[in-house]
This record gives sequence, C-alpha cells and structure tokens, in this order.
Amino acid sequence: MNTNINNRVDAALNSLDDVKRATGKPYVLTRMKAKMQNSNSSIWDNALQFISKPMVALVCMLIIIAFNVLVISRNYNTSNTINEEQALTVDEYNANITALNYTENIEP
Amino acid sequence: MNQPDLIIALQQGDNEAFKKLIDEWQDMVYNTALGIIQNEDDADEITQEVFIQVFQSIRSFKGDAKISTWLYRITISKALDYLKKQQRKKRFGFVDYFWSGNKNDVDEGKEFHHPGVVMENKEMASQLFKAMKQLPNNQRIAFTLHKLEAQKYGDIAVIMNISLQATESLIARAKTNLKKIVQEYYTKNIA
Repeated sequence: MNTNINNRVDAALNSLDDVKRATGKPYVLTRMKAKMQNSNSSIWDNALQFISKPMVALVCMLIIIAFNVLVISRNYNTSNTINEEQALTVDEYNANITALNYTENIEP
Repeated sequence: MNQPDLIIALQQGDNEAFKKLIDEWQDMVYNTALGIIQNEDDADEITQEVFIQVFQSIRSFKGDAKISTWLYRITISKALDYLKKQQRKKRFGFVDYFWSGNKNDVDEGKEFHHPGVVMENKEMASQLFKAMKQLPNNQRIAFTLHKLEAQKYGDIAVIMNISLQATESLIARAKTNLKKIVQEYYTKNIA
C-alpha cells in the first residue's frame, strides 16, 4: 500500500514534466484597447452604479431620516426651554393680564 | 527587430511594435498567470492588464532588464494582486453580498486542468495544482516559473530579484511541501 502511495506521489510531482505552454485567447490587442477606452470613461459610470445599488440607497435614506429625527428632537428640546423661560417672565411681570382688564379701560 | 529597437519603437508609440510585443509574449504572460491563479478567464484578464501596464509605462522602461523579465515581473505582481483580492473576497464575502447582492464566486474546491498537460497526467497534475494553492506565494511563483515556464534557477533568481541560493532553497522547499500535501491526500483517499 505504501509503495502504491509513494508511486502516486512521485507520479503527481512529475506530472508537469512534459507540460506544454498554454495559449491565450486571440485578439488581445483589440480587447485591451476596448478595456482602456472603457476604463477612461467609467469613473462616473462606476459612481452612478454604486449610488444606484439598493443597499446604498437604503443606507443613505436611513442616514437622512436619522439626521431629520436628530434635528427635530433638538428643536423640540430648545422650544421647551424657551416656553419655560417665557412662562417665568410672564409670571414675574404679571403679563398674562389681557388689555381689556386694564383699569383705565374700565373706568368711565 | 532586436530588443533595443523594439523598445525604442514602443516608446515612440508604434502600433506595429506593440502588436509584435503581444504576439511574441502573450502566451508566456498567459501561461504564467494561469499557473499562479489557476483560472483561465482571470488569467486572460490578467494578460490584458499586463499589456495595458506595459503600454502605459513603456516610457519609463530603461532597458536594463530583458523585456521578458520585465513582463514576468508585471505578470507576477498582477497575479499576486489577484490572489490578495481573492483572499479578501473570501474573508469579506458576506459584506460584499450585503452591499452588492452578488454572491462571490471564489471556489477553492474547483479542480483545475492545465490545457498543456498530457491526457494521462491530467488527474495527477490536477492534484498537484491543488497542492500548489497551499504553498506560500514565493514558493508557488518559483515552482510555477520552474515547472510551467521551464525557467532555469538563474533566470528565476533574476525575475524574483533574489539570489541563486535563495531560489534553489525556495524550489526545494516547494517540492518538499508539495510532496507532503500530495502524500496526505493520497493516504486519505487510497488507504
């Protein structure tokens, strides 16, 4: 059994001894020129192709939504603070009395 | 046309000279790439890329090395880039699938049959090529140049920019490693 394996191993190692050179496909020059022309004009194509991928579009959309949520929540917090400040000012100066209740308007 | 004249013609943008360069060295480039990456379509792609690079950088070629040596070096560098890309694809295949929806086609288990191998050696050569995939890159390149391109140790040393002793050592280690891998395979599958 061992001799059999050793023979096979030797045969495998020598199997490339009479190998012939593989020949490539024809018209390399033509295909190469076409490839060079394509690569010159493909920067924008590649960019557009990348942007139009569904996953990229989805991620962009999620980023925009997240940004909107962030801006809205920040505005909400700011407007709450302003309302509280306004309420304090109103209390301090009794500014919630309407113009109709002014004494000069009531007296004849 | 001798080499210096060919280089001058190429540097002047002579289309005929470029056609001659491709006709003369296309198979050498293709066969080397094929031996390293073991995929016919990708080897063809690499062949085109090699000649594109030659076309773009021929003006910077000083002629201190043979054209064939220069072509071998570009081919090896392109083939190694390809192997790196394949490894990256394998590692991050799921990310690529998530982003592009394309299932990557890195197929390690696929058998490779070199078109230049004689019929009765096809199966054994296929095992040897499979084992070559497990070699470190420098051993794989040295062994490919030696076996598939029939390059002498001295020429391999020049191409790989290493000493003759280092080349001999690389090929000896490649053979030892290949023997081990193939032996393991046959022990498992015959015993």
